[in-house]
Amino acid sequence: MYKYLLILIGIGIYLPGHTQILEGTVREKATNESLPGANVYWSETTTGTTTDANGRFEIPARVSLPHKLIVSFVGFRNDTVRVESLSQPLQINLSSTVEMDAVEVTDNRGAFTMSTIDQLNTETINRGVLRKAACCNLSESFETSASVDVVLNDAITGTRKIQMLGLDGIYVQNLLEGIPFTRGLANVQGFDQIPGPWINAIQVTKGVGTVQNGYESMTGQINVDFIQPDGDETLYFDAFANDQSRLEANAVWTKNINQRWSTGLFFGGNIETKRIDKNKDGFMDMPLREGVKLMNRWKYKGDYVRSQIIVRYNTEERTAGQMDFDYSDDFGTGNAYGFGLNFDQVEVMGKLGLLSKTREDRSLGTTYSYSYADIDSYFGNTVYKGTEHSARINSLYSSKFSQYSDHSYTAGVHFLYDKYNESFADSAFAREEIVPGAFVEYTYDRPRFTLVAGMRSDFHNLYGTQVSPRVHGKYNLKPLTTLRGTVGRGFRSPNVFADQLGVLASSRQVRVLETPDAEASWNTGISFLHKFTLFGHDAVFNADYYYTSFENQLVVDRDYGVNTLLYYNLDGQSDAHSIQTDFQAEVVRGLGIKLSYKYQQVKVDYLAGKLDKPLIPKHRALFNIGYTSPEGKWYIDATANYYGAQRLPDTSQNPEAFQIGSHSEEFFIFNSQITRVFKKFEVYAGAENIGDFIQKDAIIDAENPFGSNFDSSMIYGPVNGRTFYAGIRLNLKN
Amino acid sequence: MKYLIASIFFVFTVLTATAQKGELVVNSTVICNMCKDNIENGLAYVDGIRSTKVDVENNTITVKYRAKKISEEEVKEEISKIGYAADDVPANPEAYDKLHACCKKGGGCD
Repeated sequence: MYKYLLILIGIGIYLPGHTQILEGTVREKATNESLPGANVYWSETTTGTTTDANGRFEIPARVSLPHKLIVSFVGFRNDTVRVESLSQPLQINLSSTVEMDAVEVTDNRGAFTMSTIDQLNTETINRGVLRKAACCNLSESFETSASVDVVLNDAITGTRKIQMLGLDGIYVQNLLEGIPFTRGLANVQGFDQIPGPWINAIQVTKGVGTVQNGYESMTGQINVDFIQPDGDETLYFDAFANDQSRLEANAVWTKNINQRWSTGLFFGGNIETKRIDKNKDGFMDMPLREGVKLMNRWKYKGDYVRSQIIVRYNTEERTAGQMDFDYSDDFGTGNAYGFGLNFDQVEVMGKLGLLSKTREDRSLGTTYSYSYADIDSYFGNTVYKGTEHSARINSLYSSKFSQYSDHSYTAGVHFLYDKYNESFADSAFAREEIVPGAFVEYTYDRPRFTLVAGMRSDFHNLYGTQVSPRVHGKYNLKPLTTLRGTVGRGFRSPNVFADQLGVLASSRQVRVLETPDAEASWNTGISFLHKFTLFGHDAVFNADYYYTSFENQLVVDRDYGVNTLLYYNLDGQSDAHSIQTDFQAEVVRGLGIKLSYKYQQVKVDYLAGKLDKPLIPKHRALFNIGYTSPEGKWYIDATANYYGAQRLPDTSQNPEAFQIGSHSEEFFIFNSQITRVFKKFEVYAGAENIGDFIQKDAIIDAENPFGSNFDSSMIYGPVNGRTFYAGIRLNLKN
Repeated sequence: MKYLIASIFFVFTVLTATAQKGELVVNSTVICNMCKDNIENGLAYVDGIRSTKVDVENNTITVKYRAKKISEEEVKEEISKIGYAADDVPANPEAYDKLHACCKKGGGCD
């Protein structure tokens, strides 16, 4: 009986939205020449592939790590490689049968991986690349990717948001190992709540997601994989400091308790105590912060039962505003402007599943999560508070049509409960969402062609029945040249204040003109990925185009009047075009470059007419150059970011001194970092915003924060200038 | 736009109709899903082969190919190179040795 109960709440581990991919190259040891046509497969499974003309392979990793990978080739000795993680491309050197040398596996911290296997257009940012980012949390992990932009919400709160395909990060679904997280009120903290060193890899998928993970993935998905507890035992510690008094420390400990059970403890702490005002506007450039993040995860790996549980707690306190602001003396007085935010969140999430004993293609699983978030904040004398209880359960079954079929399906049920209680100024808002739903997805999988067609229906207690069809197709012109297409619908329920917290840091009068409807959009995209060999080295070219069109959107209008902030449901059109091209190549051994260019055009029908969405650059470019010394002791990295002009909300009604023009200036941001690797530890140092670019007049009328012209939400660039930092990472095991 | 799609469709139809199509069904030693993947992936990018379908239950491989580009014998040779027999053409012994134990005689992992 219990077994059937288990089956009913079955498996999730093998059914993530993304196919995890291991990438690598097979070469002949003696000559270092690539080996085309070598067989690569996971031991004890039937998942395998062969290397292409350049010796490269990609293999879906539907196994739990560590797992043995077998490489074989006619005339060479078979080799078995123990794969611990997918984060780095493997370099496998095979010896010919006459030689007796063992297999040699070297890691390559180099490039981003873009897969030709995954049905979706996915860019993987692995641990090696994550280390290129200076510090310390997830929102800072995208510094060398042009797909995701991380921008400040405003000039005061220091909160950040991401942008993808020209649209706000709220339309991107965030997943923690396949389970949705940082949604609802947790958007306020966003990715700041996830310490970077906890992360093993990040997958960024453009375009609407599959139906399996829910309805919210409107423009993309960002999936974060933490360090697994069942790999090699880890004891990791790091510390970071910068010249603006920011201190961070993180620790990760994992242990295999026995063959089946493993656990991991994660810690992250950050503190920023110094009031700094480099741009001399009387306001702190970055908030004072204190935060603690804790996580405990458990993994059970039975023969046919798999389970995981993650418990996460995260708390942060921020204070910002004028340099001499003191909460107990000044709050509520009008003496000095202050901003405060207390954010607490507890989250429990897990997966449970059962594998079929007779059919490898069959599995049944459940993912579940519960989160409680609490926000307590003030902007000057305006108070915003909110709490959210959120619970979610998703069960799905997947199987091939018959044992040897190319056709398979996944079907499941989903249930979401969300309860919000918010108050802003004198008004209170409460909302309860009950959303049962069901979905089915069909997959046709051939060596060169894959089609995934899904459909889900969600029965929302507030927004009625929402139908979300989604189709993804992939065709391989060559083994490593791929054409992809996608079209689909998604929706989400908007949160007036939490979605755009930064816009409240102004003296604009907030008016919510009508009850917000569900935000819904159609997203269409095509992408082309070509991997090839250029002058004897690996190179990748990618081009994609995405179009998002909103059926409804909660429009945030700063153009109606300079003293008002309006919220209303879209009446007319709102759409976004995004075109991106990336080129990356190894120039000489160890020296890699990456060039990206992105064009975004986002237009919204405001009350005042159709306008470009403000604070979005039309043109965006990135150039990254990285060098790894031959023995892997030194890593040097430099990135240049270009941001084109951005439309600014209309300020022509302001007195002349407080007008900021119709468009922002264009600007560059330069970052650089150097790392030295020792046996047990590594040290790094770097500089951010080397050109010391600071947005002029980031706060309008900063001298009269309680006057009617004050506005800190017109932010298009950095508010703090050049910063230097240094850090250390210690690996006490391995 | 309508005409463009129509003409692309027309050209496509003419091209496929005029290409000399061949279809070959061979008996082989396919015994599991991994064998199916080995052969279907292994032949996917061979010049002249349009599609490959492995029937594990009946131990057959159906290959559609362009007769102008590849002959029946060459198709069988390609199958042999992956480590599988194709009717009268035996599996290349070196390639067979390298197969996963599942796919060898007496194996079968499903």
